[in-house]
Amino acid sequence: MKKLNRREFLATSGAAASSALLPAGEAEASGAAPPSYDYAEAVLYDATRCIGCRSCQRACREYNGLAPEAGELNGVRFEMPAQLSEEHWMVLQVYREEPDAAAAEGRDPDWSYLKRNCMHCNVPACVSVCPVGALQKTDTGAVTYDEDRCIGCRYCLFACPYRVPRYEWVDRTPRVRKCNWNRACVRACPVGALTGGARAKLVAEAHERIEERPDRYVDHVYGEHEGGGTSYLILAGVGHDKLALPSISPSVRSSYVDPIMGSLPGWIVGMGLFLGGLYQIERRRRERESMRNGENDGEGPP
Amino acid sequence: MKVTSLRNLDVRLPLSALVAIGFGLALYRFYGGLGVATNLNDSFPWGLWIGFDMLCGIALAAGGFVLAGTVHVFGLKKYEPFVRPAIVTAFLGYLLAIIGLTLDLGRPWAIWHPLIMWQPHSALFEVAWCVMLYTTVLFLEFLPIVFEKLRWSGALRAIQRVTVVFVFAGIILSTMHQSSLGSLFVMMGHRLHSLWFTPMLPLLFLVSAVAVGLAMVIFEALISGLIFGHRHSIRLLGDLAQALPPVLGIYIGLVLMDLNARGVLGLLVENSLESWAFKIEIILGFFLPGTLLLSSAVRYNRMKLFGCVLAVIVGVVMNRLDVSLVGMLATSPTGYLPSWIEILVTGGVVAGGLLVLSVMNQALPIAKPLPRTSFATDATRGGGRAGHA
Ligand code: SF4
Ligand code: SF4
Ligand code: SF4
Repeated sequence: MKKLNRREFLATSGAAASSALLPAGEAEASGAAPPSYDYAEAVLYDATRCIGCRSCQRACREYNGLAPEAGELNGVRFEMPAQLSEEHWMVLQVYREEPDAAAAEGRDPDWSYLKRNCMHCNVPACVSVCPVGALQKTDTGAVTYDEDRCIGCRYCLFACPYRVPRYEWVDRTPRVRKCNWNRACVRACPVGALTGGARAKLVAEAHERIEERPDRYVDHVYGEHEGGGTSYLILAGVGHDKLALPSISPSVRSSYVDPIMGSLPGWIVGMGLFLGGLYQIERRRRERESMRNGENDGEGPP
Repeated sequence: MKVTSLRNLDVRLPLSALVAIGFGLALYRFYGGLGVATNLNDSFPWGLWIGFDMLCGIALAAGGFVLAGTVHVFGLKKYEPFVRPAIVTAFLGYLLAIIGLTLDLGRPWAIWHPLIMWQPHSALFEVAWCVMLYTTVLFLEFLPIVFEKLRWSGALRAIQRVTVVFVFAGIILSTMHQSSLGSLFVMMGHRLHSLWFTPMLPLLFLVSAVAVGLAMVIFEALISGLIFGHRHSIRLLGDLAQALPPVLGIYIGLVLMDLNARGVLGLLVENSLESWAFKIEIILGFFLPGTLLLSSAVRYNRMKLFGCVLAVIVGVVMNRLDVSLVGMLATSPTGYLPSWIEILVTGGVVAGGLLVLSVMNQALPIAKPLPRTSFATDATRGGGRAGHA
């Protein structure tokens, strides 16, 4: 199974190579279908059902043995972190619209919760940039990290379009830290805001929910197509741009780099032939020249 | 020579001090972790050590393959005296980049992993292999200088017989490596400012590397002429500089075409940090020297030539820092300025390079033009002579 997905991935990159230096839009149109992971384990987060209890956040911390969330206990306030960090692989964020802006349009301000963690992309940028394969997309849908392979280059931090991976900056043996898709959060949710299951089934269910209650949802299953699709799907009543989720084209993100990498064998052979040819021409010219010089030498003195 | 050695000491003492400080701070970085010594964070994971030590170090080392190609492949033998200094600089440049990389990697003891853990989709995997292979090639290209010093004529002849293989391998590897540093940033469309982000980055990096390689060779020849006195004729330097305007012109053409194709030419008239950095980089580093060097009055005048090649070097260094640091500022909530430790460590690394260079220049036959070098045919024909050299 693992091999199949690997092959799928390679096939995709090959197809992407044909659209080498086309602008992003055209590359999309030429339509290299990314692997779908339709039957891998996915999670659907429905922000409109979420009550913000943060049971998921606590389950994540306990399951992974991470440090307790920030803040003082006795006396002063106990604050939940709102940003991902090396100790917080999953955070619950809240979005609230400016009341004035909404009042100007004569409606209540929009608001929404947002559960943030690694999207477990179908074609993960982090996996494609890691020089040693420390990050892998597995058949379960998970994007996993192996610290024994990692060299600590932090290219994955840079390349992830969702800015998910975090780094242990103050550590002598630092690791990359991020959600590992154990789904402790799904089991912890008391109200069914999180649903686990096959990706295809969840995508269908998400569209059903939108159809049933179009007033409740924005008509967009975030993660269905983003960057080739993700295993973590988000359904919300507020546009993803307001939730500070990036707008990502459906084309596979690594499609820019793959043609470059794919052209290397050709470059090596081509350059070799070119240089070799030049060198041969140059050597013949020199030989002819030295022969002529030799003749001159011979004829000159007497 | 006595005067020179006194002057050498004047230079070497402060350089050694810088190296010592840098070394101490590097130990501190390994003791406390990257976050303690640097201003890097999750939103700005690559800083000065990648932007300067790695990107600029490798770009400035491009003279090695440019000169080797000019002399050995295109057969312009009159530039042969520049090959050795260029190879030595390139070798040092790569060693320094490797030191910078070792400091920057979070798990430097695993630096060899790309050897056995292959992931050929990654541009960084390509970078890692190119660094390893090309440093080896540079070492092999450097060896004849040592053999000559030691008067190992047998080894010298043996290695000279295969030089052309190193030269070819070196050119292929460097062109790949220079461009792969650009490929690194092709995955960063969501981070890098649109003035610099383009899928053409690998090509742009390659062309600007050729330009700065040439500029560095001329720059070094002029500087070492000032210090050691053995001056190359200004004719020769000016002739070599003739290659710069076309290369710089191609670069500017590619950049403008690319900006236009992506529809971001308008950003040039913006009044932002990025826009100004970009304009200064292109005008100072590429347009001005490219235009000025068209005139022979500039090319064949030591001071003016010096100014032009310096501008190219500054321009390309700016370009690498713009791509890796300045262009990333806007998308990072925290921003980034290198910490004093990062700066001093970089200073120490550069000082170390200069120190080694100054010692090598004294101890090895680097600047001295040789009667016959580096060619299989030459070596067999003039083999007897090599031993005496
Ligand atoms: S969200 Fe980022 S870290 Fe997670 S799989 Fe996608 S690219 Fe990798
Ligand atoms: S930091 Fe580790 S996991 Fe991330 S890209 Fe580098 S080697 Fe791979
Ligand atoms: S456990 Fe469920 S309801 Fe509670 S915050 Fe998490 S997703 Fe929302």
